[in-house]
Amino acid sequence: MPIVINPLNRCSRPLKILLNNHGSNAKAAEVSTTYYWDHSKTLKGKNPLDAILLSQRTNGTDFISHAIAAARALEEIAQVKIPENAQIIRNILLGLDIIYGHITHFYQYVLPDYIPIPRSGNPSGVDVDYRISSDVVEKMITHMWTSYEIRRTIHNLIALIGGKAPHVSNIVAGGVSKALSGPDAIRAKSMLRQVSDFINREYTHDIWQIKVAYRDFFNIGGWEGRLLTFGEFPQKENSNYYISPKALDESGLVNIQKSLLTVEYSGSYFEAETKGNSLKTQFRPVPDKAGGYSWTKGIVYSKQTYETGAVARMFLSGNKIIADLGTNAVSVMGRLRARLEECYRLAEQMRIWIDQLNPKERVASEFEIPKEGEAISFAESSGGSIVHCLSINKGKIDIYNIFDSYSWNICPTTYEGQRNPMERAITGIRIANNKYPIQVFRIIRSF
Amino acid sequence: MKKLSRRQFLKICAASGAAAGLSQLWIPALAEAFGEAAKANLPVVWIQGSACGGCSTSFINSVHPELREILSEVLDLTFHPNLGQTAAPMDTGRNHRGKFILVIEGAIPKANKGAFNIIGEDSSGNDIPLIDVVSNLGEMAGTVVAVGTCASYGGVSAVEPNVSYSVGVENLIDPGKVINIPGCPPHPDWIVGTLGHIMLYGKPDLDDFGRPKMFYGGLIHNNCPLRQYFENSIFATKAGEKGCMLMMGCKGPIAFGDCPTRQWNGSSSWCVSGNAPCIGCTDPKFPELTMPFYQKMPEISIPGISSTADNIGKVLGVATTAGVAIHFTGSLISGRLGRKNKSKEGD
Ligand code: SF4
Repeated sequence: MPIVINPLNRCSRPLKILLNNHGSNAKAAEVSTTYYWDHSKTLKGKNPLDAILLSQRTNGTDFISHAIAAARALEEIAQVKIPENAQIIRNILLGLDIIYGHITHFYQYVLPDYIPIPRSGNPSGVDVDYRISSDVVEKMITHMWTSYEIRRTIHNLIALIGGKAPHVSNIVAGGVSKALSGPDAIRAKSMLRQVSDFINREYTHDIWQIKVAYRDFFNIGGWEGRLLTFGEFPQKENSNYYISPKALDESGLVNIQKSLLTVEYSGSYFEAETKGNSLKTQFRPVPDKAGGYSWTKGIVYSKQTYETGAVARMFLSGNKIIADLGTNAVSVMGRLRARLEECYRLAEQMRIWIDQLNPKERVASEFEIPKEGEAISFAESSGGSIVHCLSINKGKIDIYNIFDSYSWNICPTTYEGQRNPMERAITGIRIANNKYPIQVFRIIRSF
Repeated sequence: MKKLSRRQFLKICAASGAAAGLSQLWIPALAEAFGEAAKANLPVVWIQGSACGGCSTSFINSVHPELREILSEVLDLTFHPNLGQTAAPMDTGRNHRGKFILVIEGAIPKANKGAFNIIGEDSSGNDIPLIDVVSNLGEMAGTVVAVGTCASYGGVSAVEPNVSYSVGVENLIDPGKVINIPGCPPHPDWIVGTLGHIMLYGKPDLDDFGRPKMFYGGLIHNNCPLRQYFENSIFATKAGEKGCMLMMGCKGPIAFGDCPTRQWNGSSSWCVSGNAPCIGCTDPKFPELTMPFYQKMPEISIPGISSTADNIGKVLGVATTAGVAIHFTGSLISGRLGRKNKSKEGD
């Protein structure tokens, strides 16, 4: 009897998981999304500028990444450079969005798999492999409530810069629409301090507790471990926080070539309306498509599936703590640790960015959007790499394809039969209780 | 004991978030409402439909901290039925038939018998489409709250060609028990305030589009801090310029909500304060009608009426004191019929 988990909640979108098991061993796995959520049809025929606002609606947590990817696509088509100030403000917003994503991921999605949290859906009377003592658990639950406070602070800060959150109004083609005033910069710094304090104290404490109690999970949830990042946080003068685009495959580190990116949709509920497998492929949703099992449109590099996200960014940029984990970096605990590590780095860097703002300089370059053109743009998000593919025809959007972290981490099975990182990570693991496969939950939610 | 009269409660809800004195009343009043609901074991069931998750994000992290824990007594903060527990909300529904509050976030795709959103499966492995869950639970619920523009009217999912045939909740459930809280996402105060009102006094007064008047009674344009620029015809024409955002595409003259006075995220900002136009996200026709976001509203032609934002401004300019007239103009220029009119047509 296969194990079916449908839906698995506390993920950035609910997932369906199917495990063909052999006794207590998972043989083959399928991980998929359960509903159609795609803005290509909505954006077709629209004014290209609308993509910045509309594509944010892809994800209520990683919305800044989408706004930035959309703006970058427009700027690439127009071949426009944005002012340094705009670059910095976008970096700050994106940094905040990523920290927000990591805190949400840990406290809302991950934590209830390790400690009993009231009303988070844990079953009673089932052995859930809890290992942390109750006085510590109590403390961690207090921290969980504080995490909502900190998320609120982060969104207040995003709103101070970007209008409101979720979904900001200030990111425009050519830069941003508002400079950060002197008094606002001071407010921003004091809010940042609260966020840093939380990361350094509560978040660190809680990751530490879990890491110590669940050391074995450094060896669980791994796979071949191909990693990829498109790089992030550009600045004119290379700051000390710049991640360059890179991928790691079986042969070692490689530089990324855009031309090697293609779509994978045979296992999805999408059919192509055009030939080939370029990112410009136009799709039509077909919910009863034969062989379809997921609502995610996949993306691959050099025909291979890759894992993206904090662990890829930290590992590939040579972060010492994560790189030192070696192959154990790509594991349940490695992923959780990498997110925390990224929070440290970003929180630190954000203060520097605020100081680098030059109040006398512009925040946007002016330009007309060309009537024709094509672009593939990237942005990183808390969950992984985002790719936007835009084609403008007669001044209107002709094609707009959005790929997000799920397009990588749960790319539907490729033409060549290659499975995605999440599926690979749960294949072959030992399951203690087929009715409540907690190991599976921990692996899936570590992404 | 009920500390606040309904009239007082409404006054507090309508007040701006920045009015600190009032929020000291607002928190205890809502805390009382949720506390009572918890005692009476009145559950709130929250179901996520086809959505980006921004509505629950807006709600959960921005709700006042003192309310959040109390709320968690009546509401599961995971916002989505748990693994293998698709049946759980149904049990809640049956046990509290006619009483519980159903909250829907996200649109509901109707095409292919709901196959565009499968929310889970039953014990024999059959797919359960979202549409079935919403219809069944909706029928059992006492009140249904549609959170966000997607759940209210279809929103971003319902833009032409709307291949999944996504609709808002009132398309499936008797509109008489549906309250719409549009916004992309909605302000958390709009959500908690409405829930509190339902718990303390029942359904709040709604406008023609099912939106609580206490939050959506006014036109954005009428309370906009940039209104003086508008009156003096000082318009921004590029990002960062001083002036009214009309030429930059502002939809404030057709959108209802209290963003300019309530403000967002800690009461200090909103879309327009990011030097950006209002995109009209509370409008029943958002985003279809309000795109292109960065273009000045075109001439809006409705049978018998032809108008431009400029002369709408003139109309509003002379009618600022006559609230009713403004509302009327606002609904009219949105080019839609409210649900009351719709039902008269037998739609
Ligand atoms: S048009 Fe927009 S920016 Fe101008 S006054 Fe009205 S709401 Fe404010």
